Amino acid sequence: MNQLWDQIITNTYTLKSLKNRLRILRDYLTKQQFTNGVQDQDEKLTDEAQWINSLGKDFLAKFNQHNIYSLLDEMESETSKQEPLTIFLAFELPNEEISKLGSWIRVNFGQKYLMLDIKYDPSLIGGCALTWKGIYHDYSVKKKIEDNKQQVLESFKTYLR
Amino acid sequence: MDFILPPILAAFGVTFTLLFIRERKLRQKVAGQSSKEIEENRQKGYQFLHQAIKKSQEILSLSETESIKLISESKANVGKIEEEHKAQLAQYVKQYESMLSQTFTQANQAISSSIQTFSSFVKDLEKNSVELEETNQQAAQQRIEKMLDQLETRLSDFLLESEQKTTGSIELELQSVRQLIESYKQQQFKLIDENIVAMMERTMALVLGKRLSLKDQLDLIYESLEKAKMEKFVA
Repeated sequence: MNQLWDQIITNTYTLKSLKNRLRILRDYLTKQQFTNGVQDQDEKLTDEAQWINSLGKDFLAKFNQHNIYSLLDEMESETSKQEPLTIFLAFELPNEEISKLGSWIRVNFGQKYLMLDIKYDPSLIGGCALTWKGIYHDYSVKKKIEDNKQQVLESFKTYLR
Repeated sequence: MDFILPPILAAFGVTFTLLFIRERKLRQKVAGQSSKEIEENRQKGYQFLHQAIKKSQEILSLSETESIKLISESKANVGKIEEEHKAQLAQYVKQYESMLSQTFTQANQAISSSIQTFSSFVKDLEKNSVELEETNQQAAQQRIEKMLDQLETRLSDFLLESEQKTTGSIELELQSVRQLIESYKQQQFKLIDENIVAMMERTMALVLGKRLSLKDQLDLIYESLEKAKMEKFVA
């Protein structure tokens, strides 16, 4: 199961995406194992379905009618155990940038399977704020302005005089 | 004496009548006795009767005499007593008159003495009251002057004290108002500062959110993440 889990999580960076992918995987595998209708739906494949194909035939071959539910249940259980890094952004990132960002964070923060929980807060102006294990820290432009409020005001007042 | 005679006469009359009736009854009773004896008895009876009548006439005349005598004596006594009474009464009247005149004289003297005493008392009283009035007036005047002095002193003290208090309270009030104004000013400045910052933030959020390119935004995000990495926020 660990091997399967590693394969899934390696290129899945957000908690939302992980849950979505597991749901699609469950749907796909159930249909594959118990019906013949998968081929019909291949035409409607989305990005997530493409992700399933990217997992390879060896990955899919490890599921059979006997272990499919137990393996999927274990994966979902593992998902619920994940503690995500909540990241507040001022704007909505494209999917490819989310992947880059997730990858960057995993490498730079030294957390191989770190999942992101992305939230949007336009009041941050720019940059981001983070919440990790219940601790919030603001690294945004808004916070920078707040921190330099006095200097900003002083410079403002020079114009007022 | 006038009251004694008629009862005596009446007593005799009754006695005579009773004897007569007795005799007559005896005659009727002894009618059957002998005429001699009757005659004798009749003679005796006549004698007795004659003697009784004679005796009664004597008694009657005596009693009349006595009664007349008594009446005359009593009349004489009454006149004498009346005269004595008159004399005594006159004497009493005289005594009373002298006593009354004496009493009147004494009363007059007492009244005149009382009037004199009263008038002197009234004069003294008047004099005393005048003196007392003067004394009271002087005392009252002194007291009023003293009170006025005290009042003046107290009033000046009070005015001075109130002036000091008023000045102090005004100064305190002024200080408080100045502090209030200063506090209000600071609050307003703080509010203005906050508003300026909020305006700036809002403006930046509105303007930069649209103006910043994706690359700029990503640069800012990675810059923030670099900082978090430096701080070892995710450990």
